[in-house]
Amino acid sequence: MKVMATLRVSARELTANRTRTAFMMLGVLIGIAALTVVVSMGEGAKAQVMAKMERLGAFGAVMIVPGGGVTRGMGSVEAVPATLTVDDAEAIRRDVPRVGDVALVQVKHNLAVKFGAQSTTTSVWGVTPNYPRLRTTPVARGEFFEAEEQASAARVAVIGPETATALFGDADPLEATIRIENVPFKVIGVLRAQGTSPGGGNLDDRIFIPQNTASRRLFNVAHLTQVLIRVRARDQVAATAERAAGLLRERHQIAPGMPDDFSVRIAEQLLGVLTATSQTLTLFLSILAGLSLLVGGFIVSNIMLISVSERRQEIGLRRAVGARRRDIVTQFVLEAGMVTAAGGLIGVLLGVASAFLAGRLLGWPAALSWPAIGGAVAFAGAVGLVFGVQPARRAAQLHPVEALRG
Amino acid sequence: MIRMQGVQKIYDTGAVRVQALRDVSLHVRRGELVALMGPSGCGKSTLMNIMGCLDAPTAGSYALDGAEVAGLDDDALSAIRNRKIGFVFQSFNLLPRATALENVMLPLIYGDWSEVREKAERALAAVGLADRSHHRPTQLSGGQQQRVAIARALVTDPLILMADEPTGNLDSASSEEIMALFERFHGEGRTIVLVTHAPEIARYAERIVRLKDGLIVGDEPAVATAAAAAGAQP
Repeated sequence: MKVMATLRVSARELTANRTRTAFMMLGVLIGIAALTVVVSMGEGAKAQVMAKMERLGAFGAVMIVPGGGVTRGMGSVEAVPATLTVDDAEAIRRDVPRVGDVALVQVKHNLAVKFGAQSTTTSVWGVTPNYPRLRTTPVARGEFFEAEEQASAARVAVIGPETATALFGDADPLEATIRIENVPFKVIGVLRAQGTSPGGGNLDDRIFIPQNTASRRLFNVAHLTQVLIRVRARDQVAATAERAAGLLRERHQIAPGMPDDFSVRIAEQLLGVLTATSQTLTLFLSILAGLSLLVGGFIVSNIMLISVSERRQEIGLRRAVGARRRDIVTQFVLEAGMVTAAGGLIGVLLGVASAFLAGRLLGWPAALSWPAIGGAVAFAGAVGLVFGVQPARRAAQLHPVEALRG
Repeated sequence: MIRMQGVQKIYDTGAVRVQALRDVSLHVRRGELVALMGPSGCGKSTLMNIMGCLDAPTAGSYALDGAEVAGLDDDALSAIRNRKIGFVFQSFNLLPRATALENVMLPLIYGDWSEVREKAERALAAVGLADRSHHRPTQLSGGQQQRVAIARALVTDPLILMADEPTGNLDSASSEEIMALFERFHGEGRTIVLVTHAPEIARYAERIVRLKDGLIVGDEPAVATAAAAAGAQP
């Protein structure tokens, strides 16, 4: 059978029967549109997280926190095991290849902060002056502290914009003296607003002070809550993280087979976790969309049966001029596939349009995924092919003489 | 060309058992124009369907072009219809969405045919519709539609042309036009089997086979019958 010549006539037949063809398309259109929305939104969310992490300088860096297993959020200095030390960080900087900046972090949550009669509660971050090189920390006014303040354990503070508003209202915080747990600090900088971190933490309500100051004058502990390591080669992040972990196990004298007393995290890995989460969601919604396509398939099948009974004369004629049963099957199956693939294409366009519209309205980003779009159209076509088989076989089984009678 | 021996056809629907053909033996030679006549229900359409390999006989033998047809499978019968037989129907049976040319091309879509377009254009020209090749059936008169159908039947250059009441849906002027075409093709040496109940159509035939209740009750040269038919009319 000459397929193209057959389908050219079929296409005209299908476009002439608008209602029937529209219903067949509708069968797959809704499922495909839903699937497209889900995928576009998922892609958008992934792209957004990526962009945020990129902006915060999270890539190409390794984060080490004390305590094994999976811990979430930023542990407070009194709540984490005292296993990660300044010497550990120094050893990593010295002995692990391709390590650039190493920043030390000590965080304590829920500290009382006062300015005059105004008071608030916030997190205090004791960090080395190189911290902004590992985590984007833009200063709107004033400046971040430097090596000199770190060395002298100076009582200086850089405060987040929300913290500033809580303490100072509209007044100028620069050069003012605030009290953190009753220890006086001079405000030397105010951060620019950044919103939330990829993990959901508020980046605008916190206070940075030199790590030495935090350790000696405020927290009175030596251990760290976090060590940040810049890796000089982006493709060596995982390898470097592994070497740092090996070094720490050695230094902490952890016997083989025993669990780590620290956790090493890399942003690329965190992204993997996020992707896995969104993949679970996508899978679930895809199954729903798949079910709707199954229902759509039955619709396609039933409309095809109507079509077959209405086109008995055509079938009879084709048989009379020499079409074999399998030629009739091929024609009807391809017709169904053609219609559902077209329905799938419309569904994709509709889905993409609604995803972007919803994105615009809800502030949720949407992104195109070409493989997903191609896959959706192919899948819609496959639904037609599969569900078209039974009606097509029914058409082929018609006796030519009976069919010609109409 | 066609050699049937003791052909029977029984329709058995379980509840009803109809013997459409009882015992038909018939020999049609190459180049003949034969008319099958008889009242409705006499079995002439059944006979034509079997001759045209659209249907298989329940019993008996049927040799077409020297080869036995009874017992062939569906694909083989399809191939025979495609290569050796051309059908013309009472209601034209054109595809409404296809152009005249596409309708004529239809048999060439099935089977291993080459120069599909050229063959179809020649067949359309042979029925005088070269200038209508891109018209849809709805844009053509009844007579023109039937001419397209005849072009479609002849496009494969078949051994036999089978026409079932080809003028049944046409006015007398168009009927004469169509019959003139059949005469011309007959003159060119084609074998044509014509099913009709109309004597004025049958008179174009050189031989008339009469059926009644599934049996052949008359088989004679047309001249005599035409005269008899003329004599019977007031």
